Amino acid sequence: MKRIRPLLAIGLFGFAVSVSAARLDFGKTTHAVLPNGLAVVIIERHEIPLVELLAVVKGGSSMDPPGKAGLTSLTVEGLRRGAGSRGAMEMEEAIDALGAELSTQTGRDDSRVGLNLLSKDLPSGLDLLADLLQRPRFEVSEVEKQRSQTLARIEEEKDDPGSVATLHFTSALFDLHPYAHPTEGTRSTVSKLSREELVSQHAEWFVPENVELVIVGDVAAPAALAAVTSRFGAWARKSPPRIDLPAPAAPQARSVQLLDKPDATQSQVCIGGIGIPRSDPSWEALVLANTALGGGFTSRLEEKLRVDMSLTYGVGSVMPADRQSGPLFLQTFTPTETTRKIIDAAFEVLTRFRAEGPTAEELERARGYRSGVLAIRLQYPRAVADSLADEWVFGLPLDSLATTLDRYDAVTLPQAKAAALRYTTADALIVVLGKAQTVKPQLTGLGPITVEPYTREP
Amino acid sequence: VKRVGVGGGLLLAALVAAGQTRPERAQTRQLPVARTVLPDGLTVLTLEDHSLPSIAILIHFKVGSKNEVPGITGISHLFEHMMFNGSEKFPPKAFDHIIEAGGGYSDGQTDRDWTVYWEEFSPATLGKVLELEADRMRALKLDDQNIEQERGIVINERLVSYDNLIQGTMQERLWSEAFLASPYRWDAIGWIADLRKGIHLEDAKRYFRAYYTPNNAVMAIVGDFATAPTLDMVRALWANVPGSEAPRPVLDSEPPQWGEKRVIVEKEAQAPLLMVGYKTPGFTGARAADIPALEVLGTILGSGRSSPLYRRLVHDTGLCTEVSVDVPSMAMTALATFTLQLAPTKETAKVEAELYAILKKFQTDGVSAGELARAKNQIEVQFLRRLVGNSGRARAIAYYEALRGGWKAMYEELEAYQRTTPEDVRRVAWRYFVASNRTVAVLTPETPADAVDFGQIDAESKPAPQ
Repeated sequence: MKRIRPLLAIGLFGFAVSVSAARLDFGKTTHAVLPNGLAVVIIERHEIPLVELLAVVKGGSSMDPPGKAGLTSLTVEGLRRGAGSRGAMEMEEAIDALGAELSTQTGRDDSRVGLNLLSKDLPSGLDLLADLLQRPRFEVSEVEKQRSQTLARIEEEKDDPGSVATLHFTSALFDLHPYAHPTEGTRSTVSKLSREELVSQHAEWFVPENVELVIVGDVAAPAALAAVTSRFGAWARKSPPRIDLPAPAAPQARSVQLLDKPDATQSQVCIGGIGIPRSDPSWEALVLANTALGGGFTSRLEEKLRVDMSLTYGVGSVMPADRQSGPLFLQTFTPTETTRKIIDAAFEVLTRFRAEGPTAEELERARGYRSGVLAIRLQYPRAVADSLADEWVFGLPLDSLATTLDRYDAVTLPQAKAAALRYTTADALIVVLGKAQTVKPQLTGLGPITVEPYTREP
Repeated sequence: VKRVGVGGGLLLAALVAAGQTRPERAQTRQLPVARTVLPDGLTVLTLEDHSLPSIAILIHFKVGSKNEVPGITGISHLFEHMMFNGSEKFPPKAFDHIIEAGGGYSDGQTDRDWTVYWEEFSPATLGKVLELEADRMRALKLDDQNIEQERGIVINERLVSYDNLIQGTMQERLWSEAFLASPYRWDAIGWIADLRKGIHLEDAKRYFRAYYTPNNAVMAIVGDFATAPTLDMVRALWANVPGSEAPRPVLDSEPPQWGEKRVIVEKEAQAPLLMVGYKTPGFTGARAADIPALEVLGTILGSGRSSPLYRRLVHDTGLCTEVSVDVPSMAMTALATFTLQLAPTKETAKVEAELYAILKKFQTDGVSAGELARAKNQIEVQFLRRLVGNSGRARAIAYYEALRGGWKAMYEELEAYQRTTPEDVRRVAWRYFVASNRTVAVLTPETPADAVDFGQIDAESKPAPQ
C-alpha cells in the first residue's frame, strides 16, 4: 500500500501542512513535510506538562550488510555518544540536567530515538535531537567502549532463556533472509565493525527524506513546527537508500531445534512460522484471530495451557508488525517434565483453530478487546508516537491509526476464519530451550531434532 | 509550604531551595480528585478524565507479604491469582471474560507492603466491573480445587522469575540475608516449601476475612465516567459487603545490624553480579524525614548516564554493563540497593572498592549545586510520568491515600524532594551508607561443567546426586 501524503498546501512555513481531526481522538494532529523531505507529525496533548519526541529512521537490522549484523544497532546507539559540540559525557549531562530520558532502539525495519522531557524544555530537547541525528561524532574511543559493552551485553543476554529462545527461533525461521539478523549482532560480527562503517551507515541512512519526527505532548503545533524547522530545515537533502527486501520463504517441513541448558528446570518453547506484512489488507483480521487464539487471558491457548492444564503461567501468540512477512508464533514455558505435554496441547489448540477458526462469539470478544486496548494504549504519548511512526515506516495511509476501530468493525467471520489458516502446524518450526538430557527423549515423533548448546552464536 | 489558589484549583508552588540553580520550576497542578468514605469503611477516590473512552479501577488492599508469617509465606501473592477465579455470583473465568470482551484487561501486583488489583476497560462495562469487584470482596470463591490450580501456576512463576533468573535469585538472597527479624526478609513470591505444602484452604479463608475487606481497602476510579451516578452504584453494591476489625499492625521488629553481612551465590551465569544494600528508614519510623534526602542521593548517584556510578563503572572503566540504585519508600526499615552488573571477566572485589570510593567521596565532599538540581529535575519528571494514563494516576492516588495519610501526600513528598539541601544529602550519606549497615550479595558464576545438580528447588522429586 502506498503512503499518500495530502498536499493541502497551507503555506504556513512555505511547505505543505495538513490538519485533520482524528476519529479516535488522541489529540489534534498536524502533518508536515519540510522542503528537504523530513516528515513531521505533531499531536497536541495538554493533560501533563511533558512532551515525547520520537525520530524514526527507515533502516533497521535487516539493512545490515551481509556479515555485518549489528551495524545499524551500533550506529543508532552511538548517536548519543557525542554529537555536535558535545562529547559523550557532555551529551549525557545535558540530557540528565533536563531530567530527560533518551532511548534508542533498532528493530528489523527501522530504528527509533526517543526523548521524553518537560514540555517547557522542548527547544533544548530539539537542540539535542538535531545534534544526535545530524552531527554524531562516532569518536574512536567511544566506539571501542560501545563495542565492549555490546559484547558484554550479548553474553549477559544468555542469562535470559526466554529471549535466547526467541532470538534463536527468529534466526532459524528466517535462515538466509535479512530478518534473521540478530539486532545487536554476534560476537564475531561486532568484534569486526569499524568506526568508518558506522560513519558511512549513518551518512547513508540518516537523510531527511528517510526520517520522520513525531512530537506528542503539551505543545502548540505552530510553535513546535517552527522550532523543528529552525533546527532541521538546513539538513542537506540527499536521496535515501533503496530498500530491497525479498519476501521470506516459509519452512517446508516440521523440525525441532533443541537448545541444551543443562541446569534448566524449565523449558522455553516457541512454535510457529511466517506471518504477513503489516501493510497486508488482512492485517486486522489476523489481529482479531490472533487475539482469539493467544491474546489476553481468555484466549484458547490461555484457557487450555494455563487455566485448564496448569502447565504454565504465560502463553501468548505473537505477531510483530514488519514491512515484509514477520514471524507468527506462540511462546510459552513449562517445567522440564511437562515439555512434551505442553507442545502436544499447543498443537491440539492450533490444529482445531486452523480447522474451525474463531467462533462468532470469540470474534466479537476479540473486537471489543482490541478496540478497548487501543484506547488504553493511546493514553501514553510514546505509544501514540510509535503508532504514528509505524504508519510512516510501513507505508500506511495517514489516518490509519485514527481509523483502526473502523477496520476492526469491518472484519467478518469468514475473513477471521481465513486468517486462522495462517497458523502452520504441519510445517511449524519448534524451538525448545531446556535440559536436553530430560527433554530430548520427550520430543520423539515431532520431526527431525537438532541439539545445540544454548550459548551457540546465532 | 506555599499554596496558592488559582481558578478554583490548587496550585502548588514548589519551594525554591537555597542555592538552587534553577528557580523557575514547573508548577504542578493538583489532580481534581474527590474522596468519599462509605459506611463499611471503603474509601473511594474518583477522578474524571474524558480525553479517551477508557476507565481504570484500582483497589489497593493494605496487605502484603509483611503481613504473612513463616509457613504461609507467599499467600498474599497467591491471592493475586485466586482473585480472578470466581466469586459467589460469578463463575471462574467470568472476570476475565467480561473485562476482555469489554475492551480491557485486569491485573494484580503484590509487594511487601501492599497488594493492588486493577482493570482498564471501555466505559460501557463500568457497571459490570463494579459488580464483579463488589462480589469478589464480599464472597470470593475459595476451595481446594481453586487453591491447587493456582498453587501450580505460582510455583511455575517462582521457578521462572526467581530460581531460574539470576536477578530474582540475588534480590531474594540479599533481602533474606539483610533482615533478621523483619517480615521483609522473605520476598512476596514466598518460599517454595510454603507454596508447595504450607498454605491450606483454612489459611486462605482466614487471611481473606482479615485483610480483603472494605475498611482495609482504597478504591480509585479514574477516566471517562460521571462521578455522581458511579458513586450511587458503588454505595448500592457495597451496602452488604461486610467490614472487619482493623487488622493487627505489623511491628518493625528489625534489630540494629551491628556489622557487615555477606552472602555468596554460586550459580550458572555469563557474568558476575554484585548487589549492595544499606538499611534505610521506613516511612512509619522515627527517621522517616531522612527518606527524601536518601532518594535524592540515590538519584544523584545512579540516575542517568552522567551519574557518577554510570560514568565511572560503565563508561570510563568498562567494569560494569549496567548499574542501578533503588531507594525504596517502604513502611518499615528497608534496603537501599545498588545493583551492579559486571562485564563478563571483571572482578567483583574491584567493583565493590570502586563503589565504596564513590560513596566516600560524597560523604567527604558533599554534592554540587548542579548535581542537586539535576536530581530534582529527574525526580520531578519521574513524578509527572507516573501520572500519565488512568491506571498510573489510580495507582498513585490510591497508594498515598492508603499508606501515606492521604492522596495529597504525593505533592507534599514532591515538595520535600525539592526542599532537600546539600547538607541533608551529606548527612544521610554519612548516617546510612556505612559498612556496619551494609549487606553484600555476590554472584560467582559457574560454568555448566562446574554445576553440581543438588540443592535444587525441585530436589525432593529427583534422585540424589551421583
